[in-house]
Amino acid sequence: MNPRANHHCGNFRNGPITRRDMLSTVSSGFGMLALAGLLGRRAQAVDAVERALDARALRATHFPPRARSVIFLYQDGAPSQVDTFDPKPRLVDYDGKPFPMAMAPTQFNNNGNTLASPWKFRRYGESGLPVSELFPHVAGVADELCVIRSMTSEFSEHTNANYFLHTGLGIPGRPSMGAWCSYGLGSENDDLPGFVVIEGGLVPPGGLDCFGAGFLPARHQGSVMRPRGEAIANATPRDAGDAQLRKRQLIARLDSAFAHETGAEAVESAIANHELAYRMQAAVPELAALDGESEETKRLYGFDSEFEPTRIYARECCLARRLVERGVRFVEVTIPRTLGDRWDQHGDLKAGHEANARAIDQPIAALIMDLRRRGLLESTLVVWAAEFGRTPFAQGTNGRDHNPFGYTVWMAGGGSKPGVIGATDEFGYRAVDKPYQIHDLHATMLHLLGVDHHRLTFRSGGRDHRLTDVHGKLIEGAIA
Amino acid sequence: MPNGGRRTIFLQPSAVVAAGAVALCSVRAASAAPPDFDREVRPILAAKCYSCHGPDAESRKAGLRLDTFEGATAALSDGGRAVAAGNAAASLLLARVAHADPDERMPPVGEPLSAQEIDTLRRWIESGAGYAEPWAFTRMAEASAPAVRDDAWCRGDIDRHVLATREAAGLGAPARDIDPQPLLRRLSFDLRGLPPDEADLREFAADPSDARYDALVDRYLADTAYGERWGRHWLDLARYAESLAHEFDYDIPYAWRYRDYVIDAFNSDLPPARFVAEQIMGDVLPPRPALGLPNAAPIGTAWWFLGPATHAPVDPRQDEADRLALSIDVVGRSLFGLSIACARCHDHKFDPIPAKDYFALAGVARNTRRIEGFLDTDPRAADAARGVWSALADAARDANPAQRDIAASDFVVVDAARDGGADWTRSGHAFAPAGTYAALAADGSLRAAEAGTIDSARAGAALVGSARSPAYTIAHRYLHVRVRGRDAWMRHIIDNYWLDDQNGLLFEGMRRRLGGVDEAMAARDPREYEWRWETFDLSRFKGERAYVELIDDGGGWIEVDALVASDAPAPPPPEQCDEDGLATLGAAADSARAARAMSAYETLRSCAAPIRALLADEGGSFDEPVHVRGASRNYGEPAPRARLSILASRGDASFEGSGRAELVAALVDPAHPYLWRTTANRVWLKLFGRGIVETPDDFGQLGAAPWSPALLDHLAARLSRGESFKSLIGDIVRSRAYRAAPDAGEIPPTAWAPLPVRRLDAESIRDAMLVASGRIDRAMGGPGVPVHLTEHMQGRGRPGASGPVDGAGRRSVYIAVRRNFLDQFMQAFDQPAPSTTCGKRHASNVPAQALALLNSELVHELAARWGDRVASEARSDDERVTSMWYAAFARAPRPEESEGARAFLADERKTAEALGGDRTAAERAAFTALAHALFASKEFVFLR
Repeated sequence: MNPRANHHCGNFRNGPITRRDMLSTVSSGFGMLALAGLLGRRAQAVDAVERALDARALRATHFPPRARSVIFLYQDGAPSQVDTFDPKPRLVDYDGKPFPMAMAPTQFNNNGNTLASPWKFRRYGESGLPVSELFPHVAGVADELCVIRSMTSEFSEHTNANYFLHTGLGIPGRPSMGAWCSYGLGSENDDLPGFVVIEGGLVPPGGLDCFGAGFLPARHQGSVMRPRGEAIANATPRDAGDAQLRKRQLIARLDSAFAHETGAEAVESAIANHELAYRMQAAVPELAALDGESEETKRLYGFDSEFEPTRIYARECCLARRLVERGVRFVEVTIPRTLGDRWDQHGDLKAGHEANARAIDQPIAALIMDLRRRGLLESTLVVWAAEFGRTPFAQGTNGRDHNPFGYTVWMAGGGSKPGVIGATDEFGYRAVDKPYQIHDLHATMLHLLGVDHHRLTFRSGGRDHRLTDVHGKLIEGAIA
Repeated sequence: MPNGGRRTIFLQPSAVVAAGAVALCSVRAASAAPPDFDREVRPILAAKCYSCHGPDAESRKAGLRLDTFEGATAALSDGGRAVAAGNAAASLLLARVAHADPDERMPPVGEPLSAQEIDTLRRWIESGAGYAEPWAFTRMAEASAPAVRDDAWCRGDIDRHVLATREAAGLGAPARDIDPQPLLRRLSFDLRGLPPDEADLREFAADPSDARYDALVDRYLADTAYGERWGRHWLDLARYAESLAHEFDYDIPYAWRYRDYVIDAFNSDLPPARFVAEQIMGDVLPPRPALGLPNAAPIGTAWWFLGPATHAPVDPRQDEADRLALSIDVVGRSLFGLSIACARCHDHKFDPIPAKDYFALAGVARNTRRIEGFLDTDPRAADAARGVWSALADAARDANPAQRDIAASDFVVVDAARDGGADWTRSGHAFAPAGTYAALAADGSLRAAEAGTIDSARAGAALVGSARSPAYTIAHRYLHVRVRGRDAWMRHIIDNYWLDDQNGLLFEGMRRRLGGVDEAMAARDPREYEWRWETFDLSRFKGERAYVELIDDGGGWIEVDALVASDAPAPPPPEQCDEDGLATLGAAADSARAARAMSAYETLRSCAAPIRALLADEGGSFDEPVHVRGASRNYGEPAPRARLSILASRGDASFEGSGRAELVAALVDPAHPYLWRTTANRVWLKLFGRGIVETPDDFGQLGAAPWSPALLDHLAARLSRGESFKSLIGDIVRSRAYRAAPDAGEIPPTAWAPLPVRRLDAESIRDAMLVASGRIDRAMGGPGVPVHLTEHMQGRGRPGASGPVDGAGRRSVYIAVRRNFLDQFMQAFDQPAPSTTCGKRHASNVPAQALALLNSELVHELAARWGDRVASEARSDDERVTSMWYAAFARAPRPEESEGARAFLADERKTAEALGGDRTAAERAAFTALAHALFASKEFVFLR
């Protein structure tokens, strides 16, 4: 569509700061109201507020949403499917022997023999879902999990695969799935961004670009929050006492005159954002104040764990819950640093996976239980996923290499349907039954949010882009 | 992003939009004229129909194409016609798009057409369903400037063009010019990215004549800040960065030289055609002295290699294909204004770009190697090197031809360097040209050299340089290289994958150092070294394209005799490796020639050392086949390189090499509009905020049509005739149009409107704070200033040390652009992430901007610096406030502002003293607070 043919008003003359730009980027109703007081032009400002609330690309979802928010538990480095949620007894028969299937080239090209899982599996819950002993707490919420054992990726390198997992394309610079959700659905909280990344200590390979807005407006980029120190960059006033207030009054007088003189809507919406920034300074500390949680809740998550990574991840998961409670659309949670290298156990699988599982197991189970008892689980889609899985054969003697051909992700809540979907072959190497692709995961997540992935598009560089590119089908059986 | 905003509108019309649409409808209703195909009809067809009924035959549904008259009006299988020209009722197209049943309605996915769009199609069909060739693919048509009623308003043809668009819409010229001081602020930021000086502001306010204005334009264009400003615009197009993103965000070595080169090219006003040619093929163009180098042109070719890249690809050919796609995307968008990269997997869905065109470019790019080459710094060096080689060549004209092949059939000679490597490429001066059969010994005598080797020590071991073999296809498990030398590098490069120099994973042993030796050995004559074999295990890479690179980067030397392949790991046995014959030194090898060679060599050695730079090099002359559906190993018909169907035929004459020269020749040919129109539009966009075409990187069918084709072609034709950027920019900013104040009323889309109020870009905001605070350091060039790392910038590849908060006062263009660690302040203000060409930045409005202005360390530090400086001045509050207003807003404060500021200062002083500060501290605190408030005010970050 020629953007100009569709133009609704004559204000395109505003160049790069068009009326559209402003309407799609001004994010605070409150800011506009504050401005109204400032300028004494209430009617206009209220009008602007209404228009600002139209900033989301979709004013109504395409179908009734099951989920209102997403918590994406990103499993950096890629846990092994055959050691977690996809038991393969046949590996025991071949343990230490040459792997019986043809092996594709791997990242490190140091393929050893078949490696049976060092962990035992048991069945849990009414469904009898098999979970390895790495996840005793998560096993306790087995009946909430929709386990997809037949996920695949197109890449066996971390960064390509990470960009692919996050943006649907294996290169840097594209909008992250959280940015798409923020763009499509906006935030339900005027004082907080629509897409928040809780950074637990490890930023994934590929860097902050995994959380970028790409060609979408910058407001949709993931705001990095830390469960320690200053939660959001620059959200803490540097001024002592009421110094900021005095400056604010002077700035307001200057801005008011400037806005009046220019009559430019761009200036007015910048003023509105300034007001929002003041409010964020208050909203963010309130949000990040986990100390107000009950002792029982803190214990549930593992705030008191002996293992420091567990304590960090517990705070992350608790913060994630607080964010979705406050209407943030998409929260991505990264894992903390444990022994060494994320889930990326090219060697010493046993120690590495045990430490990583220990860090996240209790907090994740707590998150699901906490959401459930607050009535939030049905409107919050929790997704546990990595960029790929690991090989069922050894790298060297005691590690596993990257494996994009078949691995496990799971979802919980948000309208997902508990159960097991798809299967890998008898060795857990390749998806053989109902193989799915990252695009399908994205399509399904959007669907649960009430969005048809075909119809959430953004025009850039000569074409309409989608999170799912030209792909994507719903994961059969994943939707309750 | 305007496009997105409009898309938003399209998806979900709000009440506001509906009101706008009504307004538009009423305008339309008034004019009974048939719709303009380019502006009104094509956009609907392109967005809604072409992806299944467009140029791409493979994805075409029901055999129907709607992008041509013949296709749209052809009889369909059921006898009906999609478009019956002149008869809307008989046109199935209308029936289908308006169908009540969603299963029957077109398009099958996405939003249905609006009633207004359907009406446009109806009127178009009724009027005869005329098609027009897409405007972007037509030749430039330069017409003389239109006659306008109000010619007195016009200062030149640009004004006549813009006024004509207004008069055609029933409007007159803008009512008034902008006031002198805001005009100067606008001009200064637009041309230099810096605020104007107080003295200039005062003088211009006193005498706002055309003559003084013109002089200021000239002065700003001559300021080196101009190149920093306009060079940055180009860097946006070139996805300029200094690191590779992905897992470890490795450095792009010497990327900053490219940034300096671009700034210098703009400052020296390089002709646009030459500038573009240097990006593509500066390594093979005639030398152009610049940046203190005898030839800076090759640095432009780093442009090919500024994209992201990852280490350890499991499939290097796929990795190369993906990297090429990113480069071709930049070629397409920045030089053609077309999304050519979309044609990687299929013929373009909307534009007449077959997949073959993509692979015609991929062929060019794949034959263009990335090297870290050597560039002379001394103007004498090139001549001296020629002197050395000509003396040596003269001394031994005849090589002994009795070179022996490797005898056993188990071995295949890949490259015998028989003539000394005539088909090898070289950078620097170490490697003797082919046919240099004499060597210069350390004692100054001439000796016979082996005829069939490639050698970096023929004139002595002191020179540096590199050499690369022709490309070959790996057909055997092992490659053996017969080599001698020390302290030098040998690389085996597969599918142009080079990143093993930073991380060897999966490519272990492909890059190796000839070991250092003890001093006694180092002192020995090169000829005394024994030949040996170095073996590369290539068993994982059969079928891949590869070459060998030799690098003598100082202190050593390397000589290679032959590249031999085999399927067995053992190299050829010694009896099969007789040395190539020594050259015969005739009487010509006399002492006079020896002296001549030695003298030239001494000159060469005395020259300042060459520098390293990221450059392109010729890498072969292979055509790339079409990769079916973009797959890297599924090949279709050949796509002769540089032969793009959108470029008029350039004849069938064959050519040597990568095809870069052919690409440049076609691009800069005024018969082809792409480069000239996109470039002219970019200049206009940067000065007016709104392009003549509002989609600067997409002139295709999904892009916008120009609001004044005549103005676009007027400017484009001027550039194509060789007019420089400075000349064109100067002419535009001297126009009345540039100086006009915004209109009060609404302006229709086909008419030009004056500059709106707009936000400054990221660099200008930061630079303006540096200037106001006095922290600015106008030093130019050099490696990027390390980025300041906040605790929110984490991840692999994080630089070991954070850069200074204030970037050492350097202009923003010099802050290191690390893809995974971009400067947070500038990112908040929409400095683009360097992923691909960005011709138009977002002008977003996000809380992160306000938070950065309120609370960032940078703003506080610069405010304190400004405050301290002003506090120390022995002037009255009034005078100081006035100067601060000039620095921040380019104007004097109004009386009530002065008064407010004085009251604010008094209040701050009182507070500071109440907190126990002494008088000096209180002064500083007060002015710092005022400085901060000015930084955080909207007038500081907006241009009137």
